[in-house]
Formats: sequence, C-alpha cells, structure tokens
Amino acid sequence: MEPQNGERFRELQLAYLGKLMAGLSHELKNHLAIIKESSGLIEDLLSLEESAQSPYSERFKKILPVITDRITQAAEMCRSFSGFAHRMDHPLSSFSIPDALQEEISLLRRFARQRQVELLSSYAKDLTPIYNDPSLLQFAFFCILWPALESFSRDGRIAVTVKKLPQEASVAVVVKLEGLMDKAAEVSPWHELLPEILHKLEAERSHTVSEEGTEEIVMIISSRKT
Amino acid sequence: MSKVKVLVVDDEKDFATTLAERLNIRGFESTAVFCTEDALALIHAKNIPDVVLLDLKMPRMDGMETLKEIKKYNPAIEVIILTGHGAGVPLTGIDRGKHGAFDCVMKPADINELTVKINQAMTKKRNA
Repeated sequence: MEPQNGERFRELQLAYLGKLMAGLSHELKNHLAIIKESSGLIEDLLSLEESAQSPYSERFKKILPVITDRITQAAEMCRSFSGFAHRMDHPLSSFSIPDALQEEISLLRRFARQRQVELLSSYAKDLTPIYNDPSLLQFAFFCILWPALESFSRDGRIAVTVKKLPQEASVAVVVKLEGLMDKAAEVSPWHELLPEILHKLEAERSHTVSEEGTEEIVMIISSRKT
Repeated sequence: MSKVKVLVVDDEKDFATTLAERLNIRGFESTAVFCTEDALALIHAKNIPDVVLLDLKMPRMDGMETLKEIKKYNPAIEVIILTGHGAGVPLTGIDRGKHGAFDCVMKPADINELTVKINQAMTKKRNA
C-alpha cells in the first residue's frame, strides 16, 4: 500500500476528529432532548394539578425554568459544535460565512470570558454564500482570534464584522482587536500559519495598527472557481 | 372534530414516550414507536396517523428511507423530521420538494414550536 502524503494524512486525521465530534454532539443533543421533554412533562403535570396539592409545587415551578434555560444554552452550544464538526465533511462547499464564524465564536466564548475579553460579532444581511473551504476558513479565523485572546492581559475587545463587497461572490471579514496586550500577537505559532492558510483559501489579508494600538485585520474571501 | 393522530418515531424510548405524552396533554392522540419497522407495520395495519414525527438517524432503516416508504404508501400522511443535525450545515438528503417532508425541526425541539408545526401540517392536509 502506498503511504499517504502528509497533506492527505492530515486531512483524514481532521476528518476522523470531525466524525467523532459530530457523533458526540448528536449524542449530547439526544440527552438534552430527553431532559427537556422530561422537565417539560413535569411542568405540564404540575399545571394540570389542583393548586396546593403538593407542598413543593411552587418550588418546582421556580426550578423548572432554570433547567429549561440551561438546556437551551447547552443545545445552542451543541448546535455550534455539531455544525463545526460537520464542516470537515465537505472540504469545498457553498456555505454562509457568518454561520461558519458564529460556530467558532460560540466555541471560543468560554476562553474569552476567562480572559475577560468582550467578543462581539455583526454580519451584513443578505450575504451571498461563498464556495470555498469552510473548515479552513474557521482555522484561519482561529489563528487570528486565539493569539489575540492569549495576548490580552486584561479587559479587551474583539469585534468581528462581515461586510458585503462590490465584487460578486466576495466578502470582507474584519477583526478589530482593542485593548492592552502583554505580548505581540505576531509571535504566536498560530499566527505564523496564517499566510499559508490564506494562500490555500485564495484569500487576501491586510493588517493595520492605529496610533492608539487598535489592530485591524481584514480578510477578503471569495468563491473559488474549482 | 376528532383528535389529530400523531405518530412519534424515535429509537430514544424516553424521548418518544415523553413527547407523545406531552402531545396528548395538548389534545393530540399520540403514539410512540421506537423503530421504523414498527412505524411502517402500524401504518400498513391501517392505523393511519395524520402526522408522523420522524427521527432522522435510526438504526437499520434511517428516517429518509422511512419517509420515502410512508409517502409511497400514503402521500396524505404529513411527516415532520426531527434531527440533531447542526444548524448552518446543509441537511444532506432532506430535500422537502423531493421527498415530501412537511418540515424539519432541530432537537431538542420546543413543544410549542412542534405543536404549531403539527397544526400547520394538518391545515395543509385538510386543504389538499
């Protein structure tokens, strides 16, 4: 058997991780669905019960919305996780850039919270889907966001916007980094990978730093022809 | 007016039975089965539901194959797919126009959303 070349090997390794993650998120969603229906049933039964029949009815009624709220939050995370995992199924496909970025932002929120970094996003409406590699775009996005998250020493702000461009089938992803940093984001190994990833995506990048120290990274992502 | 008959098909027994019970509380006549074979057997035995809530991923025969079988047997049965698939990713194989599912609902579903979808499916069925 011919040995796989390095790139193909890595591709399959990612696909394998993606499949396991997708399976896990499906299972989690099933468990959440059962918990949600079960707590919902308790709520239904309590509402059918004559008032004050059980001394704990009122307490149950207060506890149940907390469970429902947590299930909703966990389900949303699972959706992002599942979407993220399935991105690796189709290396080249037509996809929504805001959806792909939002999945990753959801998964990075915890790290942002720990770093006390505000992570904001806003997307232009009616953006056309882009034919490119969604998983690779998410990786490029990670290579910008992760070093930034690591470099903020205290309250910072990352604002991600996706804008329409006049040229068809192209969008601009703008990442603004505001706040004090204890080391330059450029030295991160993730950041060093970015040019190669963007080359594979056939994307363009510009990087500016204002006098106040705010960094702005702009990626122009276009649909690939093949 | 007679009660709307709903068949819940999901291999997660706890999910299927609890959902069916909650739908019954809301005035539907719901039954839960835990495999596609039982669902098709029930339908073939002339126990025709108005609406089927069908899990997409099940052992042996999956939801898409079952949907095709149900529609082949009786196109008037409306089918709502339940799926744990991620948002934002194309739902491979779920082509409503092609296979005839009324709608697709993400798990964990909201009971009120589900109730609305079932009633919408019934309106479509009555107007057909």
